[in-house]
Amino acid sequence: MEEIEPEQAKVMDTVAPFLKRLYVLFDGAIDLYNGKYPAEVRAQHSDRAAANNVYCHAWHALEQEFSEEPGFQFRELEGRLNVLLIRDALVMRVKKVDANGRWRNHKSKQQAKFDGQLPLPGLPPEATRVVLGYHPDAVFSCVERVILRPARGTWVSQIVEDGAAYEWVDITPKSLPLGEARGKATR
Amino acid sequence: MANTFNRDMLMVARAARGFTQGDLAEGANVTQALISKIENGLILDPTPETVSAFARALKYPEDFFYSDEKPHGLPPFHFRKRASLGSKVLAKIEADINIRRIHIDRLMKSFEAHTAKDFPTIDLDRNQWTPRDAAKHLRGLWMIPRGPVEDLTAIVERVGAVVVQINFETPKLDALSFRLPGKPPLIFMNSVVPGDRYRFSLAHELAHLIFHNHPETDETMEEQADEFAGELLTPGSEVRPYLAYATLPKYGRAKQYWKVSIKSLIVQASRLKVITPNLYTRLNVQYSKAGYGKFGEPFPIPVEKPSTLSRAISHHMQALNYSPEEMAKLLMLTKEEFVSAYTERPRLRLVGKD
Repeated sequence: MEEIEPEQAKVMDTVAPFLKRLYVLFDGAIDLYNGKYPAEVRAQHSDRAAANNVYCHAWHALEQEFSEEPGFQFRELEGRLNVLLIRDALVMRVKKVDANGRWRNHKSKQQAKFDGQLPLPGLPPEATRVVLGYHPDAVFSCVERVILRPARGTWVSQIVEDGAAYEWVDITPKSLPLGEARGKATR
Repeated sequence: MANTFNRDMLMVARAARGFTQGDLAEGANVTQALISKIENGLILDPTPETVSAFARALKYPEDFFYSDEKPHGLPPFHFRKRASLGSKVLAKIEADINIRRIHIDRLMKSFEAHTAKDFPTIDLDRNQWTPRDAAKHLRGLWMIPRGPVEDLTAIVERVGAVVVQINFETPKLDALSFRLPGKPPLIFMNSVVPGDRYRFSLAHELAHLIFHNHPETDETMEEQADEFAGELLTPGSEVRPYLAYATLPKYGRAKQYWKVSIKSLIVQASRLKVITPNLYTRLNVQYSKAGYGKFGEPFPIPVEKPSTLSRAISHHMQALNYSPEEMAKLLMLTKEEFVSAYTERPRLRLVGKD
């Protein structure tokens, strides 16, 4: 068995008590989008509009769930970069990812700095930058996988449901670091 | 009750229950030879005891075997589908449909369905129309509002057809339709298909009833029916923006608005040349990879419910004061089967062998 990276172990120890609460918010966001928006409205949405809506609902649910959790701070960095700082140990963003745990979009300067673990005003430099990613099925009807990975892509953990319990498993691929998805962002 | 035994009705009853001659011989405690000779017309008048034994084994009243009804064969339908169905399955479907057709005939004698009764026929060649032209014409003729067809079954019944849901007990056949002289057009729908497929199949059968009184080649008829169904449910002039920038997620959202399958949207996009052949192939590969062809699509569409038949039953029982026993006698069923087939929702089906 491959050895778990110290950084991965540390990050996953920090989020271990919250795995279920992190996992279910994506199901809730997709259900909200598919169930509450009129079909006529959703039919006019591009994939990007659909993903943006789901992101907004997921982030809103994350704020509702953790806004009063000790050590959790929501911050909007310059350039409208929303992050969740957890106990000064890690900083989390939320992204839609593909089956390989990668995302595709045009990066702002702030995002590039975030992903590169470069200094950003308002963030402790030592906090690990991670992405909480959700991978929807082929037509956005449900969530197939929720992952946590550093922005630099050096390891990947998957949150899994095991009966009533939620655990994490290491799914780091052999080829590292994870690059970006090929192709342009879809309209 | 006529006094002449009707061997055709024995064969219908046996097929409807999924019985072989051997099964019936065992159930009725007679020899298979006797059944074979009766069915082949070598014995024309079996004894009342034998008919009673058939009635008990097959759970039909004795009247059933003395009725003067004449069963029809199945209408022509796609040869590939027909070939893929076993002969026993086909015989059961044929028997179920014949029994339902007899029921409809008997019910309609005393039930004036409030229909426009102008179910059209269209000669594509004479009009020099494509199936798409015909679909546009019908949307206008039947005053279907712009946008998705909310309830195709209601429209089809409003213009005089009778839609009947039957469990064909096979996923290989979605629907069959008949047009017999002097009778309302009949469309038999497989009750176990998903709602989006049900709607497309109903539109497809509508095309057969409207265009194909003089059958052309099998492939041509199927292509015409598919093209008509696509245009009726997703008119090109309205659906194009929903098909642009084609991705599976986008078509998943369009499905829920237009109430048609993702698959049929992919086909319609190709037919309307909204997508290139390469993209058409790519979408189909993604569709298969997602398992939708094998395990079904997400975002289920509710199956539409026909109402003419249930209104005819209600009319008999409420306005004409038929008791369940009298209804069973009218339809040549046992009371239990009448209740289970026609008054209990949602399972509108005739009971089988098991």
